[in-house]
Amino acid sequence: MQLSQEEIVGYLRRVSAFKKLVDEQAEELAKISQVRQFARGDELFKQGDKNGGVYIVVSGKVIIERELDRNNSSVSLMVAKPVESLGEMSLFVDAPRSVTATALENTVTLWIDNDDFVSFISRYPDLLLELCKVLSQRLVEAYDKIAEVTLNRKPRELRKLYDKLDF
Amino acid sequence: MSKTIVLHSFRGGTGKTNTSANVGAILARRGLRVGVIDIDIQSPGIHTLFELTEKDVKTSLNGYLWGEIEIEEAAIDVTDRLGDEAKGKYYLIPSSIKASDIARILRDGYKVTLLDDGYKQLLGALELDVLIVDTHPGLNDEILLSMAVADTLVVLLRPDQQDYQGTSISMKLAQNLEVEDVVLLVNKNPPLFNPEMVKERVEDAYKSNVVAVLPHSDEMLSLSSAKLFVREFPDHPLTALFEKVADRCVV
Repeated sequence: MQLSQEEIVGYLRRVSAFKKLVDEQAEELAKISQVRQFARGDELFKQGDKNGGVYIVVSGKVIIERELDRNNSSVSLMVAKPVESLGEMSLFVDAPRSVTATALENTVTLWIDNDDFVSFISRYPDLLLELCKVLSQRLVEAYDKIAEVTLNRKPRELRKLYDKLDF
Repeated sequence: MSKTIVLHSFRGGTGKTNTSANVGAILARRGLRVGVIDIDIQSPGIHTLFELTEKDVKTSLNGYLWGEIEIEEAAIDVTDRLGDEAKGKYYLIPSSIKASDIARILRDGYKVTLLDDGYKQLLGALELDVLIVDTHPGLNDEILLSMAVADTLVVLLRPDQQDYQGTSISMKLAQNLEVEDVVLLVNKNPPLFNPEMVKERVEDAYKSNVVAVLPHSDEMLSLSSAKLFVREFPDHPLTALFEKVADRCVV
């Protein structure tokens, strides 16, 4: 799939972290973005990989999973859909990938290399703030997931219903 | 005003799926916009009555529960299965019949509370008059949530001691959840049992109305859940009883 520079700018502008980009910034970011395509089942990156870069889903869907040591099992954390980004944590944490990202269907992404991206955002602190918001939201979602997985607790709506069942 | 009708039974094999599909078909034939949703995610089956195979079910309830699609994207228009005389619309929202999807549900689970929002979204997006919810037998999170939002709860049972005991638990549950409209439906009544006496006995036991006593039917068995009974046997007495159930559901 070929995307024009204009189309790439269009997709970037729809990503929540990049909504406040001015024209010049969006065009600059588009220049360092590469189109990467994946077939259903392909891994964008694997837990433990050291390749750094941010992906933005243009079309298709990507499932993010944390692989667990026991029983060769994994926990699904989220599904990234068009104009959602993934892999931002690698910008700030100098460590191997903490999750595996797999295409759930044929997927087209924009990929931005970490070094290029760091160089870009270091010049635009406002953008850094937007990225922090996205990562903070992911942290909140991760806390929810931890509570769900470790406590095996019923959601509040269900607990209210179960409370009514005291025969 | 749109209605959510939940069909439930404490034990399996009571005929929930056949009743859901056939009552839905009657209402759609009459001109209503009807959706029937299969929330038996671990053992789905209603798709067979609409002659659908795994290949035909491209999107499903599972995708919505995993956050991958909007719930209305899982709806399949099955109005053509009703014949030419259908005046309304009939949608099926199936659970996935792919082994890998069922395995994923068992492994990862899903956010069950999405079901409640999903029902509302379906009623709005598909402009439904009636949403019929076909459930897994017994009690679980999905049933509890569905019962709590039901405008009408239809509890199915067979004239059988195990069903009688289980149904008393379901009825108590519905009472505690303050379900406003609960009706009983006796199914697979053997020819030896007088339906009027069965109705009287069940109503007396549960202090609730029995909407109909459906007889055991060889014709229903012969269809093997592969087709809609009301279309194949439009003049059969059982079809007339399904009509009666449909009347009561949309009161």
